[in-house]
Amino acid sequence: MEIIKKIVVLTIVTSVAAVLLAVTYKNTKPRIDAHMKNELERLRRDVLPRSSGFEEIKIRKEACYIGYDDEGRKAGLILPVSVKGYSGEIKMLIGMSMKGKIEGLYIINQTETPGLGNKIAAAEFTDQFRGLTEKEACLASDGSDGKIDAVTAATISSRAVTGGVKKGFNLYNEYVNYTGKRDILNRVPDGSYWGRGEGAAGPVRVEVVIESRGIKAIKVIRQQEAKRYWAKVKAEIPAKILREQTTEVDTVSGATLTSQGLIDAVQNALESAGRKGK
Amino acid sequence: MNEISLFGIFLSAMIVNNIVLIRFIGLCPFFGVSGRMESAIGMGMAVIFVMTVSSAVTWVIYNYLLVPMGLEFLKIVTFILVIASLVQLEELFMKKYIPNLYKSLGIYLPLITTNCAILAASFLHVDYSFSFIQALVYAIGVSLGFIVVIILFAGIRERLDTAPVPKALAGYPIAFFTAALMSLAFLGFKGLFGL
Amino acid sequence: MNRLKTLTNGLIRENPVLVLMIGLCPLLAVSNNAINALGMGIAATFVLICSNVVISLIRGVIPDQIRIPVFIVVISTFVTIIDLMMASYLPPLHKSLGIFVPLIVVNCIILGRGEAFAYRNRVFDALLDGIGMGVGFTLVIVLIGIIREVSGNGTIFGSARFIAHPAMIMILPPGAFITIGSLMGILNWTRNRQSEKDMIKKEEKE
Repeated sequence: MEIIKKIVVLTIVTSVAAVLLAVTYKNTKPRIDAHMKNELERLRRDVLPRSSGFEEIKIRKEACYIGYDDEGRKAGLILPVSVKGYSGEIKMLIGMSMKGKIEGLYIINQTETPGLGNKIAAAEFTDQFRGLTEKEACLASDGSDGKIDAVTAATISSRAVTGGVKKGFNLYNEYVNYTGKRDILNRVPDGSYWGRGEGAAGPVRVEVVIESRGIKAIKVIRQQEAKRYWAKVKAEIPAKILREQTTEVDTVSGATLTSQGLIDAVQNALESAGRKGK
Repeated sequence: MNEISLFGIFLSAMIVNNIVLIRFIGLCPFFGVSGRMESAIGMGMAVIFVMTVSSAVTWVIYNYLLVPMGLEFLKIVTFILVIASLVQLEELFMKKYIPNLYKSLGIYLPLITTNCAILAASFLHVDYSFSFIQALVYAIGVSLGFIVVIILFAGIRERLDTAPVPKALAGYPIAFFTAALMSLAFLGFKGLFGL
Repeated sequence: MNRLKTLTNGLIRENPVLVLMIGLCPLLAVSNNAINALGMGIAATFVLICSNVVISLIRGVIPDQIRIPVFIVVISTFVTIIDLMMASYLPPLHKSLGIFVPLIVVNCIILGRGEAFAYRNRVFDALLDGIGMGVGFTLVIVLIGIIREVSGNGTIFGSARFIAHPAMIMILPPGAFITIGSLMGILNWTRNRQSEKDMIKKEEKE
């Protein structure tokens, strides 16, 4: 009899506790989620000030974001990076303009020594990165191009941050070279679009026809390239682009500038189309 | 966190981020039973035993019961209940099958339920999202770190008993200052393994 | 009169930290600045008051042998509640207190007061005891937090820095031990002096 009473009492107590917790959890969860979302949004705006809308993309399996400005143009990338610091992991968020300059840097999480290494999270340190290119975003003591002053007595922590920024640039380059160009097709609605690129002798204008997320045709509207280059380029590049469905194709050897002009024109058409698609 | 080697996890748990001196967890038994060397060793042994077993069990419960059912918010209640009952079970088991060990460690087992280090080790392996093996290595590292400092501390305190200490500082105050110096020494390991 | 004593007991005479030497972990770990310390103090006080009241309410129906598991369930329930509340209303504080919020569960003050006081007394007394002990804990942790923040970081409650070159060791782990050791030393010293004075008075009378 005693034992049954014990079991009953314990069961009742735990059930009441479970119900109470479930209710609290249900009521606080939306707030916690909303808060985390707001916080993320605020951070994104912090590191990429000119952007108002965001779209998630994967670069090397990392969840990054593309930021768009008010007119729907790409404002830049938001890249999450984590590196080993002096006494633990340092997680940061890097805002990068499409031209490859740092727009903003925010240290999300770090466990560096209080009073020394943890100053890497302060604005005095992170603001130094604003507007720097890949070459410049190193410690001044590490290379002649470096423009970052390390936190006094915390060189290792500071170097960890520049290392993370370097990782961010790698992601950026990866995006520019690969993901960005392929990704764009997914957002382009059907239709024909104009684009221009800069060839060896002047602008190259093309019209690109898109149908159900594929490049259907490429028509050259105008060009003023030298004939002997243009003949080769005209014969190879559009066919390659149509076959591989990407502007990530090799240029024709011996006619690099002209090839690039045509490729850029197609890419430009896709980008303007992608903007309209947004 | 997954790229760090098991050895790194072990050393960082034991020394670099020593649970007592750097993280300030498990201080009550640290000051409570470190008065005599014998009881310090007993408590230390009991901790390594209980911490390893309970980290393993809480890992399984968290990853195979709470996470699939979306009940992560119940982890505080679950972990403490699991640990409390595990301690009881271990006590019964020891009494029956390893009576010699029970004789020497038995009295420390009930005290362990309120040793926050055990619970902390369980929360920390969840925080770090360790794999099962990593969690085990971590638990062993943490408990060895606990043993090392509690034995060192007990050794110092035994000698302090005969030292001429100012009257106002006798007892706990001087023990705290000793701990401060030890903690300062352990700070020197910081940055060694980067966890 | 008696009730007043219950309330004030925890403040100084039986201060859980300085006199009873329990609840040390959060006291030292999160006291590196005054704001964290205050947050921890309030969270622990909330749990202490609630669990004291509930334990006192249900003490009649709990069989003696299973009281500890019941206490643990009650305490951990309130800890989870404060954990969730903090995460939703004060996220930055929640983040900086980290693992020490869930660890309130094993804060010996709470289980200790439940067992030693609330389980044997009426609800109102248990409430007063909870408030007294909680405030006692909060006062000490905030005091340590202020001392460490001022001397170690040159700020107070996150204000502008007013000491140019603070002693950084005070916000590192050793500083916590140094601060509480000094506090206890001072407490002992004043007590010793008091008892010496009493002795002298006694002798004079004789």
